[in-house]
Amino acid sequence: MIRVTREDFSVDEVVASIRSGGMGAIVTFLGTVRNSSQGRDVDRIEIQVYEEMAVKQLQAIREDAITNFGVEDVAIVHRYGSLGVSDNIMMIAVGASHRPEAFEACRYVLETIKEKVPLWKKEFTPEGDYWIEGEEYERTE
Amino acid sequence: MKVRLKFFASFRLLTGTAGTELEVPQGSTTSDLLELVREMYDGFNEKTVLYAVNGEYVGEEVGLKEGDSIAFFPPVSGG
Repeated sequence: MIRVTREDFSVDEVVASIRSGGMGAIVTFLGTVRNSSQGRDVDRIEIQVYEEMAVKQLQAIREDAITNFGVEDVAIVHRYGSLGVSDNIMMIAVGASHRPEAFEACRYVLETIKEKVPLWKKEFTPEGDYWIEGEEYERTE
Repeated sequence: MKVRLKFFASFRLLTGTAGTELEVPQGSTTSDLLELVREMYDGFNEKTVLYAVNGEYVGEEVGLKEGDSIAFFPPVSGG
């Protein structure tokens, strides 16, 4: 399952989308909105996406993870739009015969998303609004 | 030939638009277009610019075709 959506998702539904009898391990990662960043309070965030490209990139990352780590299946859901503190941002679920490859593939998927998939977070704080660009913060005037 | 430009995140502030069409010479490459965009919009020179053609990351000297959609954006921050 690859999904880029404004809507919230059910953790159970994402896990169910990959669960199968050959799996002895399903590793999940759930990313959520933190209430602070760079010493500033965060009231909410917005996520912008280049959707057509993001879907293609996520499909390629999923296929790479299955091929390179020998896991059985991978689901990735990423939200965009306006999100409040503690809201779900994204989820990765990786199912494999055994846990080592499931953990490794989950980490690979997460780090590759952070490096390559065209999604950007904007944080709304009492001191102003900031686009996050890689490791940089760009204030919005 | 005409190509379509798309901008994302803070680049929409720099350019004042999410996208526009641009006439470029036949035979233009991605690096030619990036140079043109850097000249067109103040502030681009100081930025790290990533780009994609028709939704795929490509190299610097890739030839462009009529109707191509080229996206320019800052380093990503999803996840």
